[in-house]
Amino acid sequence: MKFHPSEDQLALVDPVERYLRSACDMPRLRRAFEGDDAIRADIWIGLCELGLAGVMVPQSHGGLELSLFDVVLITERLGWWATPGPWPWHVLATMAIAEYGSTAQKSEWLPRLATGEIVGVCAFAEGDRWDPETWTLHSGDGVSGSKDYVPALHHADVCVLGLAEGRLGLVDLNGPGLELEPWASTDLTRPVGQLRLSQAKVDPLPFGGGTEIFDAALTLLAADAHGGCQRMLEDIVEYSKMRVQFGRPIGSFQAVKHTLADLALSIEPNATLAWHAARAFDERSGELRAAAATAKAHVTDTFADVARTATESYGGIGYTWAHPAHIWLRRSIFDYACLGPPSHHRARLADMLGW
Amino acid sequence: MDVTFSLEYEQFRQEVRTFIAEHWSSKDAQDRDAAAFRRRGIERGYLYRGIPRQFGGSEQPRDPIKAYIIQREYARSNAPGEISGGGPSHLTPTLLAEGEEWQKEMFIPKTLTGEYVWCQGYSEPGAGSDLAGISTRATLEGDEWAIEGQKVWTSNAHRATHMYALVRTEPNAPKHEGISYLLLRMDQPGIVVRPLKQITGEATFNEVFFAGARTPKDWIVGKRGQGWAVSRTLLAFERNHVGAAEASEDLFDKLLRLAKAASINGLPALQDPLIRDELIKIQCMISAHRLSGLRQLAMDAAGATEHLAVGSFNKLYGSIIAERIARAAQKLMNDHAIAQPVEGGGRSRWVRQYMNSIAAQLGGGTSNIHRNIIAERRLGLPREAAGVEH
Repeated sequence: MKFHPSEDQLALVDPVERYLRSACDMPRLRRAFEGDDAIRADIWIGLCELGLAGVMVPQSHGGLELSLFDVVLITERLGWWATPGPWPWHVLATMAIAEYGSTAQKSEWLPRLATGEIVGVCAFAEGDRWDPETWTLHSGDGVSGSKDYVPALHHADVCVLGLAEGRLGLVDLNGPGLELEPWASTDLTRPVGQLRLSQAKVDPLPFGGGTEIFDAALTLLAADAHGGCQRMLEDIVEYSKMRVQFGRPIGSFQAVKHTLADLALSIEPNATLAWHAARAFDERSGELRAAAATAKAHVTDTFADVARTATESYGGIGYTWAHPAHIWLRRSIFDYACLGPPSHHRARLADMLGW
Repeated sequence: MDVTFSLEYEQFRQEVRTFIAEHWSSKDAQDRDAAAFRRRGIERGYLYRGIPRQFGGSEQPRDPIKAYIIQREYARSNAPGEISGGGPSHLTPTLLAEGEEWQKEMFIPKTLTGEYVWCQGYSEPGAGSDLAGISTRATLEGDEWAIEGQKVWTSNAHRATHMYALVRTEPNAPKHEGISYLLLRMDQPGIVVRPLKQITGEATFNEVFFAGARTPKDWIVGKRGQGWAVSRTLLAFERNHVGAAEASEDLFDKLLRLAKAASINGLPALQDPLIRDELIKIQCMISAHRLSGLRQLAMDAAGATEHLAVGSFNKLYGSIIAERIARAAQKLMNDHAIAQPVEGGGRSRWVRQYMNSIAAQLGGGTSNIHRNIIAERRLGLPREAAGVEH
């Protein structure tokens, strides 16, 4: 029964948490948020030194070979700290290659991805269509087309593409026939761009895997959103204890208390949704599709509510650029929309349930 | 979804299942057979596991997963398990923690068999959310307490044999220090029970009036003036609310059937995008509630520290789900909500559920009181205005 992290899992998260406490402290996070690439790179290098680039890479290729449940727990903490960088797309790219790639593809890419020497990302969206069923690109030597909203594109070396019929393929981002256009991103910790292919080479992963990797992506995005929810709640609670108006801490007013209690109530049960989906992934269970859609739909929806209400609860200070609340507000907007909005996944879920 | 546990526990589940199958069938559902089956359950160590044998329990080592499995298997077969109600669930643990030996011997065994049926005398017309503001008075006259006053929202008072009550015994002491926890018999001339008709038209609660009601001097749990603390003893036992989502799941299944049967603009309501979206939202909340109940069970079994105010979380979350189900049902009932065209039409029960879901926000502490508890105990926010309460 895995409804609560084991001691081993908690021990695994502990060094990550200790690293993030210094790597993503507010001055450094602020600089990364404002566009300081050197800090962003530095934060990522530290994560790689902890072995995180290879969390889902088999030990035979130099990775830690953990479970998706482990990765979910790590992702929650990265979300809590609004960690910039290619997480979790890099991890998903390694999962795709490790699970669905050929022996040659694994040997070519995994050892370098595991150490973080090179960075992987994933490209799913074509316009506003994210689902595996809607992917249209094909593999081959002369592929033309584009993928949108690709995260961390400019720092990546290899990209896992969603292809027609729910298949996956690899693009060497240092190869010919590619154009990478940066887009003005809402979430300044996770800039995105458009990947344009004209007569480019797309190397197919021979064993499918599009829906599974997409479901894993939904799961990890939910975990990120849950971490973000917790951070926003903890910060506004601390502020409400400290901020004095009318001669008393604002956190003693019932209007504030009840607002924050409602946030806590909406967040509290959500952790288990991503855990459950991850467990389904790890056990190759048939529950994965519905569990991943549930997690993405519900947790990123909650994050949007929490981020908005928490930001508003600060009063005017929360509306300033200088206050950090909007770092997470922006992440909540990203998590909500990325991979398709909550209502879209609810509709998918209703279909899956045969309603 | 039924969760599977380790092999050892799955064997235990099989054991329980076999025991029930061998000794119980629904045609046994007469009181005497139920009592006999319950006794067997206690002998097997399945019921009243936390209660010492000398008081009628089965005194088993603490094992939340076994307790969960037993509860699920009994529910599955509709077999008579532990007696429900405040006697076994509230009074018994309170007596075990705070009662005199003779009180435990006198009251607990008969409570566990159902011979003594208890009602809870807490709320009063002037003391709802502010429970410590009770004014029902008990004065010592010789060897007896004489009780004057009124209780309200008393479930089961009409069929209870006994009441455990909070009464004011020290009128000059500060609010929280003037209360005592008394036990009393219901069948006496000084007590009048009147059904309290609620908005659904039914009467599942009562008003209880005391005019010269009596109870022996030593039917007090804890010392004089300590009744408030005694009544809070249970808060320390608050744990393991696994299964809190099950009531919501049953209700949601019925809502889904309604959504398939009802129509909107000539189409099945379940095909309406807004209805679909709302129903899936509720379903997501129920999934989260169910899974986090299992998480609480896992934490409990591992001896991990329970999160604070977990009872308030469960209560509030469940009542929000009930409200959303009620509001969704209102959309689906259409004009059946005005009147049933056919006598006994099934959709009228949703009108009742709609109103009942309001009670879910009130009983056991109003939703806003539980928001206070979450804000203060879990989030550590300051109490509202120092000086008003104390």
